[in-house]
Amino acid sequence: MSSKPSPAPYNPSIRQVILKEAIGMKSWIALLFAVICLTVLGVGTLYPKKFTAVITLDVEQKPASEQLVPGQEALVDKSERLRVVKEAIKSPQLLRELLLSLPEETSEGMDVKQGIRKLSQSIEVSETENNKIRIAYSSPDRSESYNNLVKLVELFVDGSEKSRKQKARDIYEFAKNQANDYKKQLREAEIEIHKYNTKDLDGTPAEVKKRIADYRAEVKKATLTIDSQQARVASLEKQISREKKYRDKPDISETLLAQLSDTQSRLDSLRSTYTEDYPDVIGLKRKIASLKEELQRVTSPGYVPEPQTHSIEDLNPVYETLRKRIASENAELIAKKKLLERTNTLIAEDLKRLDRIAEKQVSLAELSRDYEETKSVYQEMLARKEKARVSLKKGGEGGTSYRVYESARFPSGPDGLRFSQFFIAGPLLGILIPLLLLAGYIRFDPRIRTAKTLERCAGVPVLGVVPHLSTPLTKRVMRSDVILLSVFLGIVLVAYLSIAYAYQEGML
Amino acid sequence: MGKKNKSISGVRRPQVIDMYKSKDASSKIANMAELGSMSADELSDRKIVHSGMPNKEALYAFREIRTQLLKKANGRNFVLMVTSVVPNAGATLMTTNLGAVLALDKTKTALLVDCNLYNPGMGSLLDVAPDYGLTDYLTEDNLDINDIIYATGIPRLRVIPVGTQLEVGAEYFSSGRMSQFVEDLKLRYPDRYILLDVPPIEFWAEARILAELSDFSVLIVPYGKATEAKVEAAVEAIGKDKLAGLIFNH
Repeated sequence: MSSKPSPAPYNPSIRQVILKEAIGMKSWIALLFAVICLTVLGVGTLYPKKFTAVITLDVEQKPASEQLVPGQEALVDKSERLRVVKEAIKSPQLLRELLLSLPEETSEGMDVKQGIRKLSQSIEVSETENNKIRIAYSSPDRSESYNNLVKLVELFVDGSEKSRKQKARDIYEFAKNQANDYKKQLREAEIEIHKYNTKDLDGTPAEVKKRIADYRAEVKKATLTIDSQQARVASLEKQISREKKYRDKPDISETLLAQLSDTQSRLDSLRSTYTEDYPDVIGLKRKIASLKEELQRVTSPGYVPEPQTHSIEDLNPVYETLRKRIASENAELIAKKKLLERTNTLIAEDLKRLDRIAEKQVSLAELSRDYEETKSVYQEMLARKEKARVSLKKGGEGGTSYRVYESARFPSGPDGLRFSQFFIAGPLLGILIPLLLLAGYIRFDPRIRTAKTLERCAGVPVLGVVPHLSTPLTKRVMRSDVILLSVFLGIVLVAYLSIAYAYQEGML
Repeated sequence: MGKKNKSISGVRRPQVIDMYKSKDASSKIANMAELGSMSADELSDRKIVHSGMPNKEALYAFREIRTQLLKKANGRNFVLMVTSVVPNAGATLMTTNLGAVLALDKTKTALLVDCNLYNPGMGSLLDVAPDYGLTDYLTEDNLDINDIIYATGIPRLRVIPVGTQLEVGAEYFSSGRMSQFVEDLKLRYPDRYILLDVPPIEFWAEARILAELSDFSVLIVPYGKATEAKVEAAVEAIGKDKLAGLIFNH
């Protein structure tokens, strides 16, 4: 550098500035470096080791050739599949089983609940890229991880096998029960329909309708007859009203007068021949007198005529004939009316019957529809039952079965951050953190550290940047500082390596 | 303080050059008697640049500054005020080194005037305590300029120390005698470059007064000590027309 004839003017960049500051604060930086190094290493020694054993399961999803129960055995889709496996593996029953199968000392000092929770936390179920299920078990102990994982998967696969068979059996049972149920229902429906059919006394609606029509015709005819008969009766009655029941007896006074005139005339004729003292004349005269007296009595206001008495001979023969006819006509009319009434009742009854028949037909239709339905379901159930039986015989085919795809790997090393990573990170962080802190300090410290900033803020040219001038003394001081720091860092390094070694050898 | 003088080397050198008394009094400075010079080690101890120094970067930096100042002066000699933004900016060393680098040229001499009443620092260039200095000259009329000019261990570099009357303040610098003095220094030898070492402008009024007497000034900005606001204030105080530029001192 010194040999260059015209070197670029001294103008340190920000990186050089940081370096310059770092040199200025070298003691602090060295101290910070040591602290960070050793802290990181310390964290490394305390960092819990975790060994993870991994097993990969292949999931076979036989598209259960026939769906035994609709909706129930539908294939679990891929995203669901992982969840299903996860739930199955982390299910308390399985974990409890696993916990109970573990040697005593691992589950020592905690109750079952705690143990299950711990197990659940150390198990991780995920899906690999090639659609396999990856089950990982992590614990601070290699063989524990491995053994527990193997046991867990064994339990899980067996369990799922068992449950698959159980499921097939359940399905069979279910189908069987269903079939039986439907059979019973079917029989009931049959009986019901039979009952309905035998109970039917109303005939078909067509019959009833015809009958009603007949009745109605009859009613019409009867009405007409009744009408004419009534007219006839009316005319007869009119006629009879004009006839007298008895032949008319003359009025007493008239009779008396007639007798009187008759007697008078007879008297007159007798007188012409006989004298007044002729007995007949006298008799006649007496008779006349009594007639007159009688007449007078009859015509007097206080006269009460004696009730007339009729004898059979008095009867008017016309009247009698009419009366007889009227009587017979009336009897006929009453009979006809009765008949009409009866017919009307029959019609009403038949109409009711018609309603009843319609109602019954609806119920019957319902019944037979139910019956048909039940029958088809029953047949389906029978078929399903048969399938389930076959499936059960085959050992529960269909559904999901699990197979170990890649057997458990014994964990070769702890996962997560390894001690070696801490070992490397210590010095790196030890250097990086102070430098970053320094850079941050320089960045945010308002004091001017570069010529560029200076020129920008002052608005006056910077004539030159003068580098630090060191005297031999300062150089010596610097050198001794460097030596001291080197010794310090050497000690730190030795301590660092010793700790790392001790840890690696298991002494820590 | 000015009286204190560390004798770094054991060799005693005559310090005062009595120009009147010298036989060749009117001759150019180039012919001035040099009364011994510092060794490279001595210069290095004092952080003074010299042509053989290993830290070439520093040497080049000062040379570059010198070139720019000479260019600004258009070939004539000048009075240059050197002040700093904040205290402890290394302004004295900077002045010394500017003088030293000017004096590297055999046709030029440099005269350092220590105007730093508060923290005079030119003493280290001198082996013995000087009898008089600038303040003595300003307060005592019977003193001649030559009485206060001292040789240093560096060829062609002279020093006027601050003197003993340190209680005088800025008012002396604003006196007619001061301006006459500066004028005389400049005019007497056309190849002489006068450098005033002035206390930091942040605290003292001297810098503003002396800036008026100078042809131009440089402002020393120490690395990592001055904020932008302070630099701006300092530039403002001196005035951009008087300010030749900034020197960023690491």
